[in-house]
Amino acid sequence: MEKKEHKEKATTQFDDWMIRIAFAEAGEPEMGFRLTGSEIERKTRLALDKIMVVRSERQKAEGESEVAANLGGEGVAAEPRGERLRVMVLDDEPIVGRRLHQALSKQGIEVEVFEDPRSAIARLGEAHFDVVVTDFRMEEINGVQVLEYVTAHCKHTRVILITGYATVEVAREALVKGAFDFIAKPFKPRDLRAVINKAALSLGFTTIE
Amino acid sequence: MNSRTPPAPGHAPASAVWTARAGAQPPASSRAVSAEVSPDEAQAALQERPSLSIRRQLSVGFLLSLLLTLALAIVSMLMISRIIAKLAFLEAATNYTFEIQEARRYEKNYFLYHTDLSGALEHVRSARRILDEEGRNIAAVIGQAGFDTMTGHLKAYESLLSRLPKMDRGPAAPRETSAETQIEGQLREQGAQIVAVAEDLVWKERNSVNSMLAISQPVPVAFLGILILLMVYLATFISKRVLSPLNRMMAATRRIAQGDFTPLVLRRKYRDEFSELAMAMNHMMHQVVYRQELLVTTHKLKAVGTLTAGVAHELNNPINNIILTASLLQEDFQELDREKCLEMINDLVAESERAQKIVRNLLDFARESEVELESHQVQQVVEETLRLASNQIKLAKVKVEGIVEEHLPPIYGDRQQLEQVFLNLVLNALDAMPEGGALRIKLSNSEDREFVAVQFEDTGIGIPKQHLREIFDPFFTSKKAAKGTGLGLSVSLGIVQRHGGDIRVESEVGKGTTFTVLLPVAKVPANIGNSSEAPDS
Repeated sequence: MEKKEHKEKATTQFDDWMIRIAFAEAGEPEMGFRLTGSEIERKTRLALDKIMVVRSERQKAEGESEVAANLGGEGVAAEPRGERLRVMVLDDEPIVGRRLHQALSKQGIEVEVFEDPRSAIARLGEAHFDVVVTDFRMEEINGVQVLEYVTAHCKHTRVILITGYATVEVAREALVKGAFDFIAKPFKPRDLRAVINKAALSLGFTTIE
Repeated sequence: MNSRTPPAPGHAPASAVWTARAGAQPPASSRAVSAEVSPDEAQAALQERPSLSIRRQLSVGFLLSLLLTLALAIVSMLMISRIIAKLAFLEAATNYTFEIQEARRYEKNYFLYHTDLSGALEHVRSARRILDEEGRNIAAVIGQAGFDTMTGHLKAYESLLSRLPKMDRGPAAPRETSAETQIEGQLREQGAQIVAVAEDLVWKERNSVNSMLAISQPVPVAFLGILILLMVYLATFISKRVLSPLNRMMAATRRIAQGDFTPLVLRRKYRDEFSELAMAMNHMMHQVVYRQELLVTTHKLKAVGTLTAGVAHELNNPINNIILTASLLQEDFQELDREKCLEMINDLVAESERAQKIVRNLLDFARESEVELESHQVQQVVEETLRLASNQIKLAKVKVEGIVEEHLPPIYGDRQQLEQVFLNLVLNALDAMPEGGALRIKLSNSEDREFVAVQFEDTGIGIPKQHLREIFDPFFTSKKAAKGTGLGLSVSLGIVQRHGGDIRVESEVGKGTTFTVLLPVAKVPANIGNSSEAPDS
C-alpha cells in the first residue's frame, strides 16, 4: 500500500503548505477565515500563482539538469550513483542519529550520521550523498546553511529539513532555498522513510525496500 | 547617566516595609502588602469612632461669635437708650430746680419789694407739671417716699403762696403782719427744702448717669476680649483639625507614591471629614494594591506565554527522540536483542525525564503561590531564572556569562517575584539582541553593603536617551504592537520597590544596556540558614 502511494507522484509537504504560504504573502495569516474578502482572495491567488511559478521553474531547472546529465552520457552520469541510496543524517541530538541510522539501514540504505554540521559539510565535500536529512535548528550552522551549501555544491543531492515547529516562515524559506521537502518534529521513522522514498524516486531510484 | 533617582543606598528607602518587618520577626508567609494593620481593620477602626464633623464644630464656633456680637450690640443699645432717658430726666430735674428757684426769687421779691406773686405761682405750677410728668422717674431715683415728700412740700409751698395774696394789704400797711410773717417763715422753710431736694435729685441723677457711662465703657472691651479669645480658639482649632490632618494626608500621599501601602490608622478619638478621606484613601490603596497584584499576575502570565513558546520548541526534541525510539522498538521488537532493547528503553526514560525537566521549571514558575518572604542567595535565584529562560536564550543565540562576587550576603524576598523581575530583564535583553550577542550578569555587593546589586549587561541595540525616563512607565513599550505589553519594567520596578530596592538603568544606543537591580540585604542572621534549603536543579 505504501509503495503504491509513493509511486503515484512525489507529493511533498510543500503542497500542503502552498496555500498557507500564499495567505501569509497576502498578509492574512489566519488562513481561510476571510476567504470571501475579495481583496485578500485576490492577493492570495496572486501569491499562490507566484509561488507556483517559482516552484515549476525550479522543477524545470532540475529536470533539465537531469536530462542534461543523462544526455551528457557516462561522463557526467559518472556521478557516483551506487546501487544503494546514500543518506546523510545531521542532527545535534545523538539519539536522533542513532535511531535514524537504525531505522534506515535496515531498509538497505547506506546511512552516515553527524552531530556537528561542520564535519558534515566537510564530509559532503569528500563523498556523494543522495539525500541529506538535516535538523533546521543547530548551534553555529543551521539547516538552511547546510541546504545552501548542498544546493551550491552537490547538484544531485536532495535535502530534507527537519524543523522543530513548522511555520510559514520555515516552509517558505525551505521552499525558496530549494529543499526537497521538510518534516516537522516529532515524526515517526515511517514518515521520514516516506519522504526519503519520494526523494529517491525523484532521483531515479526504484523504491527502496 | 542614571535616568532615575533612587534613594541613595545607605539609608533604607521609605518604602522598606518588608525589611523593617524582617528585623522583628520574619513571618513564614504573608501577603506582600499587608503591614501592621490590615486594611479592613484600619477601616473598621476609622469608622468606629464617634462622629464629630468639622463642619458642625465650625458652625458652632461661628454661631457663638455671631451671638456674642449680637449680644454686644443689644446691650450697647439698651445702655445708650437708658442713658438717653436719664439725660432727658436730668434735664427735667434741672428744669424743675430752675422753676423752684425762679418761684423762690419771686417769693423773695414779694417779700422784699411787694411785687406780684403771680410769677411765683406760675413757676410753681410749671414745677408741678414737671413733677407730674416725671413723677415715675423721680420715684425710681429717690424712692416713692421721697417723691411723696417732694410733692407734699411742693403742695404745701403752693398753698402757702396762694394764701399770701388773700391777705389784703394796702401799700401803707405795716410791712409785716404776724400772719404774713408766719407764712413767710413757713415759705422759706418749705422753699429751702424743695430746693435742697431738687438739687439732691439733680446730683443723684448726674451721679447715676456718670456711673452708667462708667459701666458702659468697659462692656465693649470685655466683649472684644471674649471675641478675640473665640477667634484664637477658632484659629487654633482650624489649624489643628484641618491643617494638621491635611499635612498628614500629604505625608501619606508621598508615602503612597513611594509604594508603601500601609493603611492609614486613626490618630484622633472622633470621626470627621478627614476620617472619610482617610477611609477613601485606604480604599484607594487597597484597590491599587489589588490592581498591582493583578498587573503582576498578568505580566507573569505574559512571561509564561513567552517561555511556553521556548518550552514548546525545546520539548520537541525529547518528544521526537521518544517517538523515534518507541516506534522503532515497536517495529523491530522481535528482531532486537535484549541489550539493544534495554538501551532503547533507557533512552526512553532519559528523554522522558528531560521533557519533564523542561516543563517543571516553567510549572514551578507559573504556579500561583502566596508571596513567601524568605532569605535567598541571589545567585540561586538568578540561576533558576536562567534555567527558566534557557530555551529562549538558546533560540536567541545569546551567550550568558555570570560574574559573582565572593561572600555575597543573602537577600530577603519572594523567590517567584524576584525570578519574575530577573526573567523580565533577561527576556528584554534577549529582545534587544535580535542578532544574538552576550548577556553578562554580575552579582556584587553595593559599597555600603546594604544592597546586593544584580547587573544585567547586554550588547543590544540600547535605549535612546529620551526613552530612558519613560521605560518604567506602565504601558510604555518599544516593541511592536501585540509583542510587548509595556508592563514588564513597570511591574518589575513595583516588585523591587516593595522589596525595598530599586532598579537603575544605563544605556548607550548601539552599544547596549545595563539594568541594575538593587535588593536590600537580609538583616536577620538566623534566617541565612534557610537559604541553603532552596531547591537546587
